[in-house]
Amino acid sequence: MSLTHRTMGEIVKQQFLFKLRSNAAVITALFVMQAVVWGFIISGAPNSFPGFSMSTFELRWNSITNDKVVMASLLWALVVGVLMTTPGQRNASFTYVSSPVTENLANFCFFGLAAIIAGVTTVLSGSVLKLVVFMKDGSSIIETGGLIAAPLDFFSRIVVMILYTLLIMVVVYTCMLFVQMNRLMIVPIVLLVLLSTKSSVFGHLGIEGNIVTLFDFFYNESSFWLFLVKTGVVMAIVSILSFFPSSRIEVKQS
Amino acid sequence: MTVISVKHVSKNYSRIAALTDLTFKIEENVITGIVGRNGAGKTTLLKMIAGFQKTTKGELRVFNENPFRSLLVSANSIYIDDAMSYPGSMKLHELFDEFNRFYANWNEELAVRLMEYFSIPLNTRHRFLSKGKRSTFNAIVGIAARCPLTIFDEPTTGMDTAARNDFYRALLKDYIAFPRTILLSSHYIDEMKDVLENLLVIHRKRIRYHGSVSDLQEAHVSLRGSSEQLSGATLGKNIVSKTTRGLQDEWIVENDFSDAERAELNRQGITNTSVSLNDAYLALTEQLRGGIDDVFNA
Amino acid sequence: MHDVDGEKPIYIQIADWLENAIIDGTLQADEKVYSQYQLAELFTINPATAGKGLTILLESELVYKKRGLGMFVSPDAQEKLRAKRKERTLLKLVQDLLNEASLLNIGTDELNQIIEKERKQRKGNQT
Repeated sequence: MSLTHRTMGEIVKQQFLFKLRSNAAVITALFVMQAVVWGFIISGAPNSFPGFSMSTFELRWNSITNDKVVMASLLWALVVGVLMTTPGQRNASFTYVSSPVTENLANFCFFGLAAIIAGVTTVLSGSVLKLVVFMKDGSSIIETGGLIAAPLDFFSRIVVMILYTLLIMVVVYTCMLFVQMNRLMIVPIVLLVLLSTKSSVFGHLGIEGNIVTLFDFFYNESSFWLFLVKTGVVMAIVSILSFFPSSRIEVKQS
Repeated sequence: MTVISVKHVSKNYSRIAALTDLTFKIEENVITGIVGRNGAGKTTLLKMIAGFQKTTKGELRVFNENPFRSLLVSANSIYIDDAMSYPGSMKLHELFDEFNRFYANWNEELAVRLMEYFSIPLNTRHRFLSKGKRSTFNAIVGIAARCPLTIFDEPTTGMDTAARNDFYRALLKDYIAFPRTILLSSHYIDEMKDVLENLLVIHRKRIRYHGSVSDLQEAHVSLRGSSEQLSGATLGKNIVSKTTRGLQDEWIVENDFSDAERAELNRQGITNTSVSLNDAYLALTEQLRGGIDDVFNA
Repeated sequence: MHDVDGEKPIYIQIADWLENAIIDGTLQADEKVYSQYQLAELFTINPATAGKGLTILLESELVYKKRGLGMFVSPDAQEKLRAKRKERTLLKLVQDLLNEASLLNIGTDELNQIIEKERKQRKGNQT
């Protein structure tokens, strides 16, 4: 029986399509999550929207914000990052044809597409939300950053959302791979997370100094292009790092 | 052509040895049975050959490549065990579609016909099948993939006798039509012995025997008589096992008797017969020494 | 418990089966013998094992090879086998007989008498 020679590219493409077909529910889950958050916003749970009223006149201002959809999408990205490192996922890939490299690349392709879908739907949902609330309440609306009012801003928000989603997936994915390679890796990773979110913790310990938290590093970047460069570079580094654990983890270890 | 070459390979799981210093070669298109007691290291060996796990020491080559991280080995081999991972979201026919996309020699028609024969519906999910049917499905995948290297790790777990026989027959028929290198592991040597050409016996984390099935069988002989008779007749012989069968003793001895010695055995009324492959294997792996009796005799 | 003969290796069982087919005339002289693959399918055994069985017959010149056509029964195969069986089976029976006789302390003369008596009885039955 003669041997079959398959190129890396072929297998990455096949694995990517396989992951899409087998994880279609992951994408559906995003839509469901967004829909649920929408439901909360539109039904206007009173607590979440502070109004202002006096006996003589009423000023009602509805702050329609997409923040909750954004948060939901980012949370989803985190779950997706974890999900793709589960042994079940890897074992399924190796039930078919796979190598650690193709597995990693196919996962990144999956993250890419998932992030694009999440980015576009999340930003669009902001605009649609406003429309829905407008039609429901009939009140005037001051649109900021919509497709028509500020198309460039609109697209840049999509790009930013995609990058955020992708960044979360890739970082979480890589961290999980390191932990799977060696359980002890959890210690430096937890330290890193603390460092990036709660510089105050270190402040209390008196080592605040010049620590610029990782969080601020992205979140407080006001220049779109600089943000692009920063996330791009970080993602590239993290992605390259991920090949280290992924090529060491054994399959079907039971 | 050599398909698998193993040189001084050891495998440790966090310092505990799973396999020690294995050296052997498996040639193309040979069906080899991998047998050994529970925990002997059969599965570890097969997973290393499939490229799922790495060796701790030594050199392992499959199709002339280190299988761990090898795309060539993955594309030309399939590993079937009772813990196959399939995406839970996919129905059986969708799993077949994926096999078709990934494996160049996949024969969909054969797979579907086997599914019909074993009455497994195509539009159900793997987790909804019974244990036996699950194993049967996995076995069908292993046969229909027609991989140059096909590895079955205890494929018949949970199958009933009829399904086991059907599986071995289906495998053999497809092998005759499309020869390939096959590794088959099982606790039960009897059910698969007929389809094997070679046997690899792993015992105490090492290779105990590697060679043809008939050679192993013929390398031993069973002698029956009283223990006094037997001890006299087997002076200087390598005794592999001693069992008491009723009032007689049965000793399995390494078969290096000359014709004259054989005639002498007959004269003394010692029955000397060929041993079954299973007995030869059990003797080799110290399962015939009456070990369990010793537990109660202490 | 296994039978007295023990369990012969499969390739020997295959050779025995083919020999029986030649002795009882199922396989005639110069008739084509099953190929190793046909035998493998027939008995669900490894083709290499079946090949080994055929090799036994080839080595004892019970079959001959025609290049590219397969193996055929030698013209004198049936004859040879009959002679071989006679020798082998009879020898075994005589050995068993002598073993049993020595166990029962039966001397050669007594043994001969028994054989002679049995032979006479059979003759009487036939006429």
